Amino acid sequence: MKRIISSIHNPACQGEGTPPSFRGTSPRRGLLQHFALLSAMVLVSILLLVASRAGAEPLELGLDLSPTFLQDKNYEAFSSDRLSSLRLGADLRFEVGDVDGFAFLPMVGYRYASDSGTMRSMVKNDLTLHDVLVGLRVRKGLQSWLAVFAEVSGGMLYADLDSRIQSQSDYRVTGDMGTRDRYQDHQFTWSACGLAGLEFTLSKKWLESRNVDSFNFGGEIGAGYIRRGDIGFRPGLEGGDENSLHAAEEPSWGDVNLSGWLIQIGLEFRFF
Amino acid sequence: MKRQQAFLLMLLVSSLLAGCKTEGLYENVLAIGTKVTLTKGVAFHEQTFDRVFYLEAGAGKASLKTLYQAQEGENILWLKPGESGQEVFYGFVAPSDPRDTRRTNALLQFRVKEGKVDRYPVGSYFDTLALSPGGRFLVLYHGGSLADQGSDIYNPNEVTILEPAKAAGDFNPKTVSIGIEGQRIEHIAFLDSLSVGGRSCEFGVFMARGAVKLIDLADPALTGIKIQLVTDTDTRNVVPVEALAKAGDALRDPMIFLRASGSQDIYAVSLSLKTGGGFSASLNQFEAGDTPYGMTLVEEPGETPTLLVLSWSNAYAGRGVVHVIDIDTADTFTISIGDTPTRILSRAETAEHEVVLYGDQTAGVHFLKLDALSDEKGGNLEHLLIPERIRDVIPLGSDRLLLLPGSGSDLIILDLATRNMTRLFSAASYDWTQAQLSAGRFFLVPGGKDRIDTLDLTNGHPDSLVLDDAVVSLHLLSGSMAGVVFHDTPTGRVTVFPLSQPTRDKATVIDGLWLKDILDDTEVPR
Repeated sequence: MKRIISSIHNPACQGEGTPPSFRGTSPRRGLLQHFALLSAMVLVSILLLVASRAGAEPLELGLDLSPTFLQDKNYEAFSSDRLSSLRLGADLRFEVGDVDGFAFLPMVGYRYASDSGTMRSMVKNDLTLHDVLVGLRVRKGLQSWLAVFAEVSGGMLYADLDSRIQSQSDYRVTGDMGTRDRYQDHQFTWSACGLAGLEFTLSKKWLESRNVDSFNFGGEIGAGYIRRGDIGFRPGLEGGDENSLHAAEEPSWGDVNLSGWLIQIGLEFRFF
Repeated sequence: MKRQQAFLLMLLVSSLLAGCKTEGLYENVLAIGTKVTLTKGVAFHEQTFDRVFYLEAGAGKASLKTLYQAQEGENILWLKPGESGQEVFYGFVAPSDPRDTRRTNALLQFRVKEGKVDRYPVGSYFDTLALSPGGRFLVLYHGGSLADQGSDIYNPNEVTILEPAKAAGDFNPKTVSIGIEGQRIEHIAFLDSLSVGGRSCEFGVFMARGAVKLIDLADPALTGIKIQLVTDTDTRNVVPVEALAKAGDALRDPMIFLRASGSQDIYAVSLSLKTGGGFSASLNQFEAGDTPYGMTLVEEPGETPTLLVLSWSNAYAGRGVVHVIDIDTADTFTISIGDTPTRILSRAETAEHEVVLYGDQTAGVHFLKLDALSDEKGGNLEHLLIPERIRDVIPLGSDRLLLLPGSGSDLIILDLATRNMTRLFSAASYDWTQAQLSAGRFFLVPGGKDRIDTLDLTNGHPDSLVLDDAVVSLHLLSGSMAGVVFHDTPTGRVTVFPLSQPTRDKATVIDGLWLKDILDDTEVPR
């Protein structure tokens, strides 16, 4: 069916308006895949390194839940509160030495957090955070089943922002199908974390009584502070289709800081 | 010890929970009110936080800045444009609490180019603003029926006069009450500068029922003269609606011609200067048919100036005539138009040297040559007739008229210089009074659509700039030669395009204007 391009028609003119232009897609989306791939490669490499030295040093895997209480009130733009609640992750540690009862465990860890907030009542922001950390844990055993630890780590934070304009008609604003209603941005910054707490494991005596000498299981609870650099968001307008109008660079939203106090609760799997 | 530990633990938990408390920082939706089109941008009132934004736009770019944030305890009530072609506009602020005696109503002058806002305190609330040609004087008055805020009693003849180029001071602005025979001011007009007895005067004409008051705005004492147009026993509702000025010469004092609704006469006022200061005036009346609709003054070198008055006359079966009036003798002859035009447009300065007579519900457009007018007496009247009759006429500027013929959907662009008519067909219903003209193109916004319709007046080619979002408003910026289209998104979105090439491949969407720096801690509200 022929589309009416103009409602004013000059019978003497044959023109039907300007053909629509095409636009490319943003390359920034690919950064997330690259970052995830790089992180996986680092973790696997370390795992292989440790595995090649199997039997030499104990290896530990920690699975952690670490809610973080963010200090910057601007986090409200990305959350219904200022608690980054879905901070999940894993640590890989191996013991390299023991000096006067203090065990030294280099570690590499990953944390994932996701949250959603609303701006201007109709802009829904989905923010996903990926922390990759490298650090050192020092442990002092108090009992055969109880130890205290302190940990420092540092690394990179990758923040992935995906926003949409919401409307009563579900993610649509008025206009044609070419309407752009999505915003995306990806930013890196540094992070540093300090943590201290208690570790609980099964008693060595109890395990030996059951002839288990290569595995232990336990948990940990700790508290600390994570400091992160400012993140400046400048999301690009996305969505629409190949016929959508060219979009200029968006104004900056400004900075948010994702530093805050955290509590860490986790499970530990130790392999000897 | 255990108590201390429990206390510390509770303190930690409570501080963490307190840190999670939200403040609703981002829940506000910005509400955009009045917009004022300037030469390089658009200023508008953001009502949620009561501030004035300025969106500067050029081809492919736009930037937003805050021009003014309402002070605590005051509200921005309106914005109005300033002198055409200047980056100046005006706003009015009033105390938000009528009990607040520390604040007062004030006119704000926004000088965008300099980035400055001038504040002129005024005593009353005014809803209407009038600027003299050139913008030297500004008059605030009660154009509507709104009373002074916080009071049920107000003086409709109270006006505030100020010189926008001067800073606020003891005599700038001046608030005065214009007494005109107990009548209220209906209209305000400004005249071109007139020399009266060697004194240069900038007259403001304050029009009321049956009378006018001329005030020399350039005189710090605001010297004026009241001129009664009708007798005390005249019960007609005579209200002046148009004023023309004629400079004095060797033979004549400066004159002012007034056309009034409800009157069949044109009022001619000759002005002179009294010896002790002040003005004196003599009033003459020219008969001008039954219903005068418009007038224009024709001054030819070496000839007596004549006043052309377009009116309808019962003597000509209720049809239009042009009364050609000798302003010295009041001798008049009439030229029958044979149609019912209501508007007269002078093209005396053009090569055609003519006046154009047109109007709604007419058979066509008529051209009356001004050369040898008294000899020809209408013999040089040219008719351009439209077979379907005209139901509406809209002046487009650039020496063109838009004619809407018959009851159908055709429209005709008439080039007054060449008499060339371009006939077009329209499938959409437009508000033609909102049509805008720039860079030789005619821009129209069909209601509720996502496009701008254009018409190239040089070749009659129609086109559409189809956008990605519904159009809220269109602004043509003569300074940056860019068109700005506002859309209705919570993020703040405009589309910018060059006026010379209103096409999709030249158009750029700029979004996120309402989110600019939203995460930064500033004193500007979010």
